[in-house]
Amino acid sequence: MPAIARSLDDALSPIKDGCVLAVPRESSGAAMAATRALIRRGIKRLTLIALPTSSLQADLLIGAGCVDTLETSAVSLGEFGAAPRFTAAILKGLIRMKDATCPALHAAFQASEKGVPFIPLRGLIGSDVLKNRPDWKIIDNPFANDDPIVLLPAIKPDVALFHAPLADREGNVWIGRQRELATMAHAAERTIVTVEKLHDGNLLADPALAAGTLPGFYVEQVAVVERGCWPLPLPDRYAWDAEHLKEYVSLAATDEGFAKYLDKYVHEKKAA
Amino acid sequence: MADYKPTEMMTIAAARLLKNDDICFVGIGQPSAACNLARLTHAPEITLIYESGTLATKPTVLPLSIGDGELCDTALTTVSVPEMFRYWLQGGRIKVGFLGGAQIDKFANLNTTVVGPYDKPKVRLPGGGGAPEIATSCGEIFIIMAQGKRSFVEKLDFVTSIGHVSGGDSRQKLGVKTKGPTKLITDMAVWAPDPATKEMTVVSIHPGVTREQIQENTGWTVKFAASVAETPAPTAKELEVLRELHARTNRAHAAA
Repeated sequence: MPAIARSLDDALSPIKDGCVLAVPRESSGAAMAATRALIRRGIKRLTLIALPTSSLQADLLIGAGCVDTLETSAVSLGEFGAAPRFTAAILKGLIRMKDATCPALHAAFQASEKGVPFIPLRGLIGSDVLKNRPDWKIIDNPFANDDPIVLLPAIKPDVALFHAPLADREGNVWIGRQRELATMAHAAERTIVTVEKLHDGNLLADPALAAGTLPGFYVEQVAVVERGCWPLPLPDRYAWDAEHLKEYVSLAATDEGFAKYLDKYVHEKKAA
Repeated sequence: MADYKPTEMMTIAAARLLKNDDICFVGIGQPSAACNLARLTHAPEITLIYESGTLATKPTVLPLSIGDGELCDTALTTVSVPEMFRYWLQGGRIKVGFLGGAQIDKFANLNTTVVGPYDKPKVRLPGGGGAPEIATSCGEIFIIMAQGKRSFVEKLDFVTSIGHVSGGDSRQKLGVKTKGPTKLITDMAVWAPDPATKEMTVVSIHPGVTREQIQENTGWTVKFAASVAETPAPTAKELEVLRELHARTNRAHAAA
């Protein structure tokens, strides 16, 4: 039975140095307050898997030196431009990059949630993404002739971490239509969720809410953090903080500027 | 004759390729502008699907990124991203995929990953996203890109998404059954694959553009079809709708 954690740091305690950490794309609920808390703690050597893409979350963790290996299909700040710390780390060879694709990551998580060791996927043959993934294999479809197909190994993260609108005291989490959050939780060894607020009553007792609810038995820790996605959006609740992201892009262009950003927004305890 | 910019001609020429009954997977940026121009002019019933899982999307302003709330707010519904990839894209329900890229070669293979060696890149781009599977799972692919020697290159450093691979039947030989890129729309011309070699070939030149200019902005020796048409200039209506769309978009995002 998941408990409502006394503090964000308590909830994050299962995320250890060297952990394989899965996080969602920015518009599904990136746990940014939790990300800042991990950086404050000085977490190291993460294998970060962003399902299927990332923006500020990966950029911050990489810039702060928390990441050894990144597996995802794209990193950018969208309309705000390239992800500056990601780009710098790749050009300097500071992190190991495992380029994937969106369908491939969704499929590899799906394999794990079903407990199968691999999953076939169409559409990668011919791409250099496949050539740079020695762990992805091409086989002949055993049920047909001349039908090569790619097999992907299942991805089983140590911890899945995301932010959602609501949880109840049983640890049930309302994710709405962000169904990939359920896939992440099904696939991961442990799941840690931050939420905007606690829901009175049981989310699974209301049929309308139950359809969008991740049952608590997949969830190990819940912490309440208002505006936990800031400065990124929470779907249907709040949008990006565009001014903040512009400030980030200009500061994070240099090592010194990025250090200033961390001092101002991450290490300062009142981080919004 | 109406005065217009080359990028406006590009968007308009691309929009004209889309039909009312198309189900189209739309990339952000130029593809999104072209698809919505089609929807606001000759193809009001076109079904636009964005990577974020929005189905039958009808944005009043152009989204700035795939997570833009405008997409969700104006869609018939939003399915989750894995549902969209698994059951729409990979389930074979999408007729046209509309892509852009950082670099393209003569067989319309696309690079959105790195410039330079993969292990020691000169430029790191965002990455493939879902483009490799889009390029192979949609019935056919339209590509929209402005021309230039740095983007239209003889050889890609990294093939993120395949087009016609190395030409001829090389795409089919990989086991891929969809058509691949059937049109490439640039700010200078419309290109289509040669039926035999599959090399992208200029089939229509935009008004006022010369063959020499097209060659100067292409990193390989350009082939022109036996009969090259002139792209009809934008109509007053097309320009008006496109400019209104951009103006609405700018106002909305300035206010946000």
